[in-house]
Amino acid sequence: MTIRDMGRLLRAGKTSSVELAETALHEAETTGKELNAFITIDRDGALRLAGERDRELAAGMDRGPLHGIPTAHKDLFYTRGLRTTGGSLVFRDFVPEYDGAAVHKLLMAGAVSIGKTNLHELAYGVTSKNQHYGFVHNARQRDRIPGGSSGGSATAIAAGILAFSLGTDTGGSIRIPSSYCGVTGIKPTYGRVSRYGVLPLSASFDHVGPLGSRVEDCALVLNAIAGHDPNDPSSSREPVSDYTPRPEKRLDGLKIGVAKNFFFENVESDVGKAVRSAIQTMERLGGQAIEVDVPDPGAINAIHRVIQMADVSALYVNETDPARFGANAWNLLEQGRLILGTEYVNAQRLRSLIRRDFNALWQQIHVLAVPTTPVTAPLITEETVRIGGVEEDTRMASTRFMRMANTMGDPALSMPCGKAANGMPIGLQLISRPFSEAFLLNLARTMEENL
Amino acid sequence: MTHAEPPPLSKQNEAVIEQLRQKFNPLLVRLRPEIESAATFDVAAQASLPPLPKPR
Repeated sequence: MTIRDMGRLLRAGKTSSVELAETALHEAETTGKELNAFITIDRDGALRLAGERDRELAAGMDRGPLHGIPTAHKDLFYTRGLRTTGGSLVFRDFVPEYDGAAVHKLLMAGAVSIGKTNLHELAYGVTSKNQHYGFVHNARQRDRIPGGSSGGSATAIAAGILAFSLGTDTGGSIRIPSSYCGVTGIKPTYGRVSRYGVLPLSASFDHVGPLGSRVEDCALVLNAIAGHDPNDPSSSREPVSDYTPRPEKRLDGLKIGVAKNFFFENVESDVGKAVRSAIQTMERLGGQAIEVDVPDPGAINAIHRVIQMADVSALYVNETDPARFGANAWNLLEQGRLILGTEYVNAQRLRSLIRRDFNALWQQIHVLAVPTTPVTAPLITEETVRIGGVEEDTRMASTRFMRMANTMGDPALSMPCGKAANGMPIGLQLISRPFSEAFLLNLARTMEENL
Repeated sequence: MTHAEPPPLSKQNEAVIEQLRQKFNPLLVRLRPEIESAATFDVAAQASLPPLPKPR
């Protein structure tokens, strides 16, 4: 059920917040357990809060669309009095004394958290094969990864346990699991949502955003969490829009960027076909497809890796014991320690240089429509994927189309646009200029009606 | 907090960074000292862009 569906039942008196929480808790404790979707389930806290929400509604106090709706936060968000592990042994006993800004805003908007979702260790990876809290399984086919790092959030939504969840995205961690699990997720513009009270990974690229069962779920959550926060130095003062989407009958005047380079290279044929078909749907509705050269995707990926690895290794500079980390995370921390200071500074300078090229791109088009991931969800047992006879590391393949939006800070949304022959969902990625979230969500909602 | 030395770096991880440098170093020729300081990155710094289509 979507947020709206549950809200309608609540306000019609056909269910209660306690009933919704009970159902979500039961599903989390059964299906969610099989999927390893959760690290912590807060049954007592959820039922206590749900009871308060019911009493408020009975007294005529309605906090809005999220009032009484169950959710769970990626276990990277600080939750007051409830441990926040980051999917890591390093934080296994960390109990924050305050809620993260986005968590607090959701609480004020009436949402009821049932716990914390599993993730890739430290949010530093895309498989959610967490060695400490269990491998997360994809609800669509359980022998496949859900993607990551917000893998627990995405699979819980795909399984119908939740309508939405908070995620983070440093190099695709909202969009990759959205693509692999067949749900919707939006990485907003850098600075749009506060990162205060979120375990950091790479301050240069960390973004907070929602994953949801449908486009509107993401929009309603973004309405609640977007906005300036003086506690986050990267937080933007740009005015916040109403993100509630209204589907369009026509897309006349829409200029759709179709990448001539990079984004359709080395892509599974079903993925390429589904995304091109989605572009044709936009054209049928009146949009104009314009072929464009996307500035330097290969260069951006190198720049992103240099900055991210140095950022993360700087955070964990005092960690000297490999036993506290999974092998993959430790290797990345080691690699980051090898980045030179000059390389880091010059990567940041190159980032600014390429930003200007993107400003020019956004003069030509309104949106770039590309695959989210070049493949559907890989098998858990696979470390590599094979596309057209070429073998590629699963992590590199999954992040190939991701790093651009993180490096530039531009908003990017992933939504399902079909299924591959193996039955797995395919993700369509819509990227646009800074602070165009309302436009992106409206377009995605229109596509949801027409795909 | 004591600051212990981490164990020696593995050759494999050194090789990963060398591979990354092969992609990254050629980009440096684009940089000139009179422009692009590291402090200039601003996601909101937009040239005047044409308006997005309005909802109808």
